Amino acid sequence: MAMFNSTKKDRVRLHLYLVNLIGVIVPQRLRSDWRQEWEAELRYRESLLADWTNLNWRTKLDLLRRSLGAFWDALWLQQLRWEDDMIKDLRFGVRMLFKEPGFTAVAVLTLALGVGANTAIFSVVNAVLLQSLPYPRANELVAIYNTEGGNSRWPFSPPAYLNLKNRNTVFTDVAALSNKGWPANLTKLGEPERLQGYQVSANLFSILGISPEQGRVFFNEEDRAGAEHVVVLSHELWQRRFGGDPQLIGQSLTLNGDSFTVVGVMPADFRFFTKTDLWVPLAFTAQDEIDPAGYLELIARGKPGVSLETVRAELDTISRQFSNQPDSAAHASASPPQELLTKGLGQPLLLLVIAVGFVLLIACANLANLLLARGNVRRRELAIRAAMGASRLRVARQLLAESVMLAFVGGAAGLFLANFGIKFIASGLPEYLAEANSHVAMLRIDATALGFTVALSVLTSILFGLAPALQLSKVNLNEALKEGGRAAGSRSKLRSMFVVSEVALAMLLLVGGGLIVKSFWRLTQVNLGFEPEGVLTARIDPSGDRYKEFAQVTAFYQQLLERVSAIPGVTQAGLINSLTASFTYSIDEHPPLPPDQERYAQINQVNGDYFKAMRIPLREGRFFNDRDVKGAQPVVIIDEALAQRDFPGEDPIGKHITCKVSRAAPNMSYQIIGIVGGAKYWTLSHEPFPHMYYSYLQDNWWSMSLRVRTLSGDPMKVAAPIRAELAAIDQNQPIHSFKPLEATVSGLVAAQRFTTLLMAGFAALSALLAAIGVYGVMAYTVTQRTREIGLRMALGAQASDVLKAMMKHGIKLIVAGITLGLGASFALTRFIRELLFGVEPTDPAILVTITLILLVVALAACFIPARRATRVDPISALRVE
Amino acid sequence: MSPKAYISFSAAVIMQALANGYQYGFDIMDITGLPSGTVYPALRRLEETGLVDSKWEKATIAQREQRPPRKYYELTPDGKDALTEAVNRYRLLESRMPHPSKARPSREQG
Repeated sequence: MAMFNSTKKDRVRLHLYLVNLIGVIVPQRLRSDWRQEWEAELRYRESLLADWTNLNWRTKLDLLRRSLGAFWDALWLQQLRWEDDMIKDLRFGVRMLFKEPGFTAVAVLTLALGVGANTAIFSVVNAVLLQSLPYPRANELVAIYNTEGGNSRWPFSPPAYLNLKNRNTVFTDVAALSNKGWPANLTKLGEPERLQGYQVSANLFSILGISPEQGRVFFNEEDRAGAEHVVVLSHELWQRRFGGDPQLIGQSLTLNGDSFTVVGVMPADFRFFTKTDLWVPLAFTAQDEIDPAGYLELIARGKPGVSLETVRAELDTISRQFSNQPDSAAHASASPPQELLTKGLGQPLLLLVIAVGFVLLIACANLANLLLARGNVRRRELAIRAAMGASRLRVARQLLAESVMLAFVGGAAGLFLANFGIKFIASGLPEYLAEANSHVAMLRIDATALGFTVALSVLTSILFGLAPALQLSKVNLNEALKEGGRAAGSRSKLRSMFVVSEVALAMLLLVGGGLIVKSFWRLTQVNLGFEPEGVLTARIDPSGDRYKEFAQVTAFYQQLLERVSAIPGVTQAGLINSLTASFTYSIDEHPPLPPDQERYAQINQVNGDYFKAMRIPLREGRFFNDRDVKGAQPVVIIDEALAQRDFPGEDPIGKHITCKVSRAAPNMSYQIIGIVGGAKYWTLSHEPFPHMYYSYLQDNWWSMSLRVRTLSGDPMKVAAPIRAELAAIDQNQPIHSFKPLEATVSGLVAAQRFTTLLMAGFAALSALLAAIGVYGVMAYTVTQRTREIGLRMALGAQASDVLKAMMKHGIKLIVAGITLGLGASFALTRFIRELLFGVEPTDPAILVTITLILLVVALAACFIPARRATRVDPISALRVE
Repeated sequence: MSPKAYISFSAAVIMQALANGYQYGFDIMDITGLPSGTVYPALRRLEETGLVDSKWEKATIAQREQRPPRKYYELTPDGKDALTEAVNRYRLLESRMPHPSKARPSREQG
């Protein structure tokens, strides 16, 4: 272009100078093109305007103004510069990742484990705790219960419910569900099937705000006594039993011998209370309306803008007025249903969230270390970049781009892992959660979880990428190019810091995991008071015309027990009613207690062999026998807990207990004939609640549960013979829920087992990651010091000296980490005290064991590279550079 | 390219100018009255979306006139379609600028 400039070289042309200047910011790729176009335009313009010298200032100014337009043009091209550099960075990043597949694989796997575990746990926490229940405006819903404060909660009686429903001013409406359940035997339609039904007030569905998928829900007048029999089915039952036939609406089904018209089907994602096949209206007879027994679970929708405090205050007033006991501690209260549902889960889940967070931190520290180590190897490359004019920012950006790429690949792999993890975790969640909350039932990785993963990946890439990027971009050209790669002091300090914190975090997690595991082990060692091994359970709910009278039902059970006991392999056949209820009672021989000191006991009806089948020991007196029937002296067997509470220092046998349990005989007095050992039916972590047993021949509520002790092996083997024996008595009575008692017992600790498994897993993972971290640092140190080691050995150092020197460095890091971790454990484990059973947060055995385990693992990780150092050949080591 | 790409009024004016035979940035600035800071970025954007094509002037012509070769722009078939559409939208467009044959003699092209 020289010839163009040659013509009027002497003149300074401001506008051309300006274009040259502005051209600096145009991306290099486009610069010459851009400048040529502008110069050509401006020169042509100039020629049109005649010679520069002859121009007046006005035209000159105009030309200058127009030249300034080049600035906007150049600015517009800036985005291309970003694109260019970014693509260059990313392309280079991909090349680097492929160049070292070993490094990439380790990094991606580490990240995938960290991100995957976090995503899975987040999804669970989101579904269980964060998302509101799947009902419209779920925040307005409250569950209402009676309480004495603390954790006590019991349901409402029909008169208390009706009183509350009519008198409150804070709810739009109050619905009730009978927790007795409404087991429905579906007959006259192929094989008889026993379905789980619930009686609900007609307004339940409208309060929840859920419309049916097919047909309608109940009309308000349908929950009156004497109304036509109608039923609403669950989606699952409709699909499974009726093939999703829309013609089913309006047809009738035979349930418990009566005809019911199907009016609607609920949507597939509708869940309420517990697993339910069908709902029928809850109709109160005149007798029900004065029944003091509490069996109604209430849910209500608060009026918009009414606070929970207002609701509670009003419930308190109404319930005290109704019970006419203003001084009693008992009163009605309300809580958001989700809070009740997830009670006791918040803490374990929070613990898991923190634990996975730690795992991710350890993973990040590991990666930062890996990147630093690799960065040291790349010092020459980075120095050359700097020498060629790359700014520190530019180098840091390049390094960060690589980290971001790693994070995204790791995040994608983590999402893949989370997909499996989530299924595993979901299977470990307590069943009642999924049965009451469709978010939990249909747990999957949704948009929220996806967003969480992406955010987490970005965050981790910054966490593990930033420190190395800042460190490595600080290139001292002279040093780096001269030496060709020896670690700078500050960098190895940073790496040591990472390792120490990794070991400390792993220590903390291991201690936490160890405590939880020990606590769970303690829980499983608890003496239940009965022996679940080899016991089969099954439920029977006799219904229909043949079982209207008490005598018919007892005759049926007597016959069944006889036949089941005769099955080969069966030693005893026990029977217990399926619903355990708590009642107040008084002891005839004792002075009456004031109403606020009333005592409760749990009551079950059983047969005499029940205790033998369960191996609950008899302490005193006798078991029930065939003569303890209706009409004979009513008798009761109490457990040790009740004996200790009510008869300290006296013999309970022969004393009398009165309790308002039976509607037919409200004030019957029962003579105590025996004392048995206490049994932990509901919870392992608390002492058994005082319990008493009635003879089922004197009092029973139709639905009973078998407890069949078998000789050996799998108790499920006798399920088929039992079914056959039942069919021989009555073809139309389904028997259901066959289950080994051991499975029920292990279900009691399902939540703890879930937490324990995950905590142990995370702790092991953290130890593994920390070991990898220690190994990485040691291996790197050995490589860096190869020359020095060679020199020492050439001067006569023994292999053992070298090993000692190498190990010394590693041990220093490990001991520092463990000490820090121990300190943190002392400070932090007390926060999980409430989750522990039979273990102190500072359990010395755990602390010592964990310290030893981590020490051994870390030392092994340290030893392998250290031993490699002893194999250095002095000659080749000295030749390295 | 997608014919649905949004064409701003100034872009439409520039395209109309190109359609009328003004092919250089400065010509377009002169005839449309738009500032250079609008015209050049707009031309680059149009080029990127495929509505406008550009060519460098033949070096011989530039040499003869003793100046660097200039870039000259023209509408692509897509650009012509898009302009038709834009003209329907912006009714005053065509009347806004004179046709080069009437305004001044057309120049030699490479």
